[in-house]
Parts: sequence; structure tokens; C-alpha cells
Amino acid sequence: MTLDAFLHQFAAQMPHGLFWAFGIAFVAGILASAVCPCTLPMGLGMASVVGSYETSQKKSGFPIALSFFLGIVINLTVLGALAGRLGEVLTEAFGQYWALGMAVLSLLAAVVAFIGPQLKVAQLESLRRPGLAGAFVYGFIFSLGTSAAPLLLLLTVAAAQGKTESGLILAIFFGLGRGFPFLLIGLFAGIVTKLTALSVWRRTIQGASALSLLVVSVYYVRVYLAFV
Amino acid sequence: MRKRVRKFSLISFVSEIAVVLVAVFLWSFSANAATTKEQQSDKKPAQANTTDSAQLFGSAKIPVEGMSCMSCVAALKKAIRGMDGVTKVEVSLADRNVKVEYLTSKVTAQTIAQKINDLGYKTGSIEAVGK
Repeated sequence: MTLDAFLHQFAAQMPHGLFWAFGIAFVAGILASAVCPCTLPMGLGMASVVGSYETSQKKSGFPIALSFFLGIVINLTVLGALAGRLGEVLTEAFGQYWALGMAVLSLLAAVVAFIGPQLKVAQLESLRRPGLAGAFVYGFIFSLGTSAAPLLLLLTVAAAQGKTESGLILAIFFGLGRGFPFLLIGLFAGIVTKLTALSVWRRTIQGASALSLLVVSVYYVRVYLAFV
Repeated sequence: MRKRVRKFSLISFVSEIAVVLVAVFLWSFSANAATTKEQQSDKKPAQANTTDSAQLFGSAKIPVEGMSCMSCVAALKKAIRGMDGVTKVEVSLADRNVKVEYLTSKVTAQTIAQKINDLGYKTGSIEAVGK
């Protein structure tokens, strides 16, 4: 089912109350993640970052996934507030440089994932906060290029149903749904990494994480090259 | 032993970066080849105009459902641009449509729409755009 089909099927329920409207927006966000081709490589990237964080820093990687999730939610809140300007982030020129930015961020994450085990504990501690901020920025920029179009569709359908006044809150609930799968992926990756906490697997997980993030970077380089 | 492990890690890291750079080079090479093909097909219409008046150009606007992000735009642009006879492609995520210009002797708007459908998107009624 496409997002268009879902919204056309359930849009009529929106005027029945805020609960219905926000619930539809939340499910629309999850569906937008399900149908977006970027979800799979980014999910792989998220699992890699969390796994690498768990093994190199020996702390929970869930805050990383939560920061990424918040980046998506905050971005969609901002886009919802600036609904009239959505067209500016939907141009090919913007998309080209967005893809390049994602490729660079993923490459940086791959480098950090790889050199993590080489660093001393004190250096790792100093990277913890930038790691959370980095995950937030990663989520924010990811959402910028992948969520604006579905959000525009949701707001257009909501406006047609007379729900113009709650556009910002619809955007927030849409963001919660959009980021929810990545939160689950981060949680699952953290649990799996904890279960394989044996030192013999640690280096394998770190290597696999770095390689996965390189693959994500290459994916976005291909997207960038398609625009050139 | 520690030095050997570090050296091995450095070598494996450098080799991974090298693999990625080679892959990017190969892809960019194939992208350049596609661009060259597009430039050649851009040249063809001018020649077609002067040498054969039977070769006409067509323009169409095709509504597309299912595009969700810039990856979809890139995939559509690459696929349609690679079709023989297509001279120009504009994909609009905001308006949810694709505008194409093509040589009518080589491809039709219906064929282009079918290609879009084959990629997993849903096309609507094709609108011919006058030049």
C-alpha cells in the first residue's frame, strides 16, 4: 500500500476527532518509513552505529538511536511549522546536495566506528557527547531529504479535510511515526550487541559496523551521481 | 603482537577505503558514460531537425504516485534518462509528476509511463505539453 492510497482511504476519518487525526498521522509516518527506499540503508547504518557504540564505549547505544529519532521528530516539527516553504526542500538541486551531505556524514560515521576501538577510554568518553549530537544531526538531515514530500502530502490531505489548524501537531505525530522504526532498530541492535558481548565478537561487530556505514555512504554517493 | 594487530587494522582500514574509492570511481565512470550518452542524444534533435523533418519531438507530463524521497527522484531520473529517445527529464517531488521531452520516432509517452510503473510507481493520465 502506498502512502497516497493509505491517506485517501483514511483521510475521511480525520474530521471525526483529534485522536483519529493524530493516530492517522502517526501510522502515516510509519508507512512513510516502510515505503521509503532510504529506510533500509539508514536502518543498517543506525544498527551499525548503535552496535559500534555498545562495543567500543561499553555503554548503552540506545541514547544514540534516541538522538537520531529526536533529530527526525524535530526536523518534521520545523518543516510542519514552515509548511508554506516545503517546496524549497523538494527541488532537485537541494536533493543533489542533500545526497552528498548524507554520503559525507555516513563516511564520517564509518571512520568513527572504525577508529573507536583504537582510542583510549578517556578519549572515548570525550566523544560520547559529540556522538549524541552527531546522531541528532544525522537524523535531522536524513529527515530533511526523505520526509518533506510525505509530510506535504499529509498536510495537503488534512487541509482538504478541513484540518488546517492542527498542521503542526500532525507533523509532530507524523515525525513520531517516521522515526519509530529507527528507534526499534536501535533498541534491537543494542540488545543483539549485548548478547554478543564476548570479546572475540567485539572486533567483528566493529568491523562489520564500519563496513555497513561505508555501504550506506556509497548508496548516497550513487543517489548524488544520479542527479549529476 | 600489539604492533602487528595495529598494523593489520590499519591495512584492513586502508584497503576498505580503497575498495570504496574504486567502487565510487567505477560508478562515476558509468554515470559519466550515461551523461555522455545524454549529451549525444541532446545533439541528435538539432541534427534531426535539420536533416529529417519526420522526426518530431514530444513533451509530456506524467503524474506519479509513490515517490517519497530524493532517492526516488534519483532512481526515476536515472532510469528514464537511460531510455533511448528521451532528451530531457524533470522529476518534481513537490508536484508529484515527471516532465519528459523525447523523440517520438524512438519512444512514446506510454512507454515511458510503463517504465515508471515497472519501477514500482503508479502513473496517472498522461498530459501532452505543447512546446
